[in-house]
Amino acid sequence: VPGATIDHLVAVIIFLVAILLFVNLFSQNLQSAILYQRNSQLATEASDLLDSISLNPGNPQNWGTTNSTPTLFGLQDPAQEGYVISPFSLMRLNASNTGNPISCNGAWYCNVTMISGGYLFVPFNRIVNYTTAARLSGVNGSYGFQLSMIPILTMSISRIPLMNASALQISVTVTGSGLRLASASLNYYLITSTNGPKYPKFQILTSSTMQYTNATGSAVLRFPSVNATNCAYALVVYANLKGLFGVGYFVSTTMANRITPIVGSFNDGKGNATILLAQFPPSNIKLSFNATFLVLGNSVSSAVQMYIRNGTVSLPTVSGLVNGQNQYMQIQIPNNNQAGILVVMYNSTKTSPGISLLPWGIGSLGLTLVYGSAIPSSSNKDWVTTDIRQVTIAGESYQFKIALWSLAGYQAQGPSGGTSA
Amino acid sequence: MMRTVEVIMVIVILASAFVIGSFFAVLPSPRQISSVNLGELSLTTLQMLDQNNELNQIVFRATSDPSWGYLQTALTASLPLNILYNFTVYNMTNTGQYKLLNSFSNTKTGLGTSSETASIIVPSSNVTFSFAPQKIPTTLYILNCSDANGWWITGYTAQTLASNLQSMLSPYFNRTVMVQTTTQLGQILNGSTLQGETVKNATVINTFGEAVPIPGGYYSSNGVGYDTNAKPGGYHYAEYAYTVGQRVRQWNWTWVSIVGWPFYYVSNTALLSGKQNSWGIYGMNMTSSNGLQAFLEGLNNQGYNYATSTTGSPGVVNLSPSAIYYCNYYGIYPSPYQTSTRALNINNTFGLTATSIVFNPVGQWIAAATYRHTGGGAFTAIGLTRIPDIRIAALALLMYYHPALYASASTSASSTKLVVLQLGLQGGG
Repeated sequence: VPGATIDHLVAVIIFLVAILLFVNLFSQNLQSAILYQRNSQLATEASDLLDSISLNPGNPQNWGTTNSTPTLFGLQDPAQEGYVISPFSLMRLNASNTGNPISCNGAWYCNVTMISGGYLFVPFNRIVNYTTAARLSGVNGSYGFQLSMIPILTMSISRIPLMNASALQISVTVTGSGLRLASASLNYYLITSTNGPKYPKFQILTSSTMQYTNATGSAVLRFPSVNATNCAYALVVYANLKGLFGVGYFVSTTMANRITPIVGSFNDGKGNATILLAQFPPSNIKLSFNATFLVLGNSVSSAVQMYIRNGTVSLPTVSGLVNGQNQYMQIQIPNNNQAGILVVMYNSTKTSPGISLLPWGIGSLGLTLVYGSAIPSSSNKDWVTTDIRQVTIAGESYQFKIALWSLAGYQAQGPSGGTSA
Repeated sequence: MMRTVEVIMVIVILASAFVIGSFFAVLPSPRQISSVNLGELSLTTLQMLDQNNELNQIVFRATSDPSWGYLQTALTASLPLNILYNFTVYNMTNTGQYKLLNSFSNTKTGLGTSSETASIIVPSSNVTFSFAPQKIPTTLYILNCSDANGWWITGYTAQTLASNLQSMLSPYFNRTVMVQTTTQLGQILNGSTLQGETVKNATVINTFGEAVPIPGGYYSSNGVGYDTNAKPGGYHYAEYAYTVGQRVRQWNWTWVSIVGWPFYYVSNTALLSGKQNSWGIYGMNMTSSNGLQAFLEGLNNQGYNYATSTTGSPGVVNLSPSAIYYCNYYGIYPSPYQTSTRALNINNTFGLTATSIVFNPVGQWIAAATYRHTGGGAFTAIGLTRIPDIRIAALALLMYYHPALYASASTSASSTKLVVLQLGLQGGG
């Protein structure tokens, strides 16, 4: 009898241990499968959402060139097909990679991307914030996302200091995915500003011949007729390598008081956008200015060639005075689905001239744009999936990335943990 | 002891079940669970590289051409660093087979089973495409009167505009007839044919801008083309516009005004040789805004009432989405924004309905559109400022009739390449 009892006890213990072990094993498998399914669904959602945003212009289709809030979120260029993104819709996004906002005339302006000499300030009350975009995309409360528009080609531009010479030489290096690109063709134009009798003089020098980068991806652009010591200048360079297009710019200005162009309104109802020219930092110094809008056309690179050939694509030129009592002045530029660059030159009676650029359309000066919520910290172990498309913005080659995560709260565990490629 | 043995047997059975279950429940690799959509990335990469026909220019070159190397560099630069690729170009043969032409890759170990592929077909630039337009079954009259002068067609003559319009629009119409004199204009106003063409349902393009050629004789006579009751110093020839409006309705014409304020002047170098339009152009007489009003009254078949009309000046106007679509369809590309200082506000008045609007309306003003009258006849008014862009007039007409284009391509198999891009992830299975 004692032997039978011991036999029963041992058998029950072994049985219970075995049951617990196998329940654990089966549940692990089950848990992994559920996680895999959720992550797979998340990846599909990311791909679908990216396509939905890339291949649909939203509603109304031209919301990027108006002041209205869209009723459907999409970024496709309404005048194009395929993965072509509207440079104007991007301007109306409340980007994450912003500088400090500024105030002008009682309103606040979002500093979409702050780069030396180039400014893109847009009014807070006209931009589409992340919450609105998520709601219009149908993912509000269920998924968080972040969009990134990154130029494929990047350009490093710097002036080459010359001993005992005032002539201008500028070095340009073209890279893509960290790779220096040899034999990339370069088109460019140099805008110079010198003091004039009343207003700054606008002059534009275009590339007379196509230049190519050398084996290290660099090229030297020479401007022997430009005296860099008495002028402000802006160089805009367009690079092309077998279907890849990129743009970079460089602004040299020494003036402390500068005129900053600010987008006051995307549309004034008459086919124009309103631009405020404001002086930062505010001062009582009178600045004369000269504003010129350069139209780039459908393709950045072809527009440059068109410019060289025709010799004139500049549109309205406005001249006036900005001073301490009148800190801003309104001008209008055409808002007709054509990307361009607003060039503002300014000087005072005592100072050398300066230049500010405003890209009309995100692709005009190759800006990077990040939009959406912050990606969850890796310590949260949230599964973040990403996807990518190659797109064109104002003729430029961009990578359009999405990062998507679930707001349901489940975490990545087991073999699938981490962030996907 | 038997119980222990039985439990061990149960454990063996459970273990077997787990092993067998695990064997069939194969979970995919993490890469397959949540990776970049390589198929879409591949396709968008090819599309991007082919913008401006760059691929087209490379894949038809010899494989020893350095362009292939540059293409590989561009491909490498355009993809994220953790992406492997295999780029292959095939010749498409006459037998429908694909023969390898060239290939390059950034890996020698293969791309694994999780790789994805996209392809595009690249035609040679030698391929010719042709389009055969559907014929609009009406006659196109283009006013080319040698005995009339134009206004607001600065920089052109009516004759050059007529010639350009003929070459642009005649492929779309069943028959195109140039109206060479005001006398011939009088004939078609009477319903008489010039060359055996059909007068009814025709389209008449007035290339004289704001001026309208006026025939001598009947159409400039009292009560027909000349209003004797207009006050002294008034615009007596406004009644001619009324008569033209009636004819447009009677013959179901589509009357096209290419620029400015329609019917603002009448012109006949013989009839009005001693008169000028107040701007020094002889052979022309002003009807002022009364001309348009009279035309609309005639088109609407109401009594003639000497009165003025109005136009608006909305400034810069943009092509409507529909117009942009037809620009692409017909390959007519005027500037997408124009300046309008003579826009009309006649939609839903005088029995007119704007059926094809060329520019987005600004408030109540429509810069250019074709208005269809309920009782017959139509009126295409391009209220832009000078200088006229006849492509707008052509676009407006094609939008109104929207004839189909039948495309055909002349190509051969050897003139087409298949470009395949296969992408995989580093470390992918």
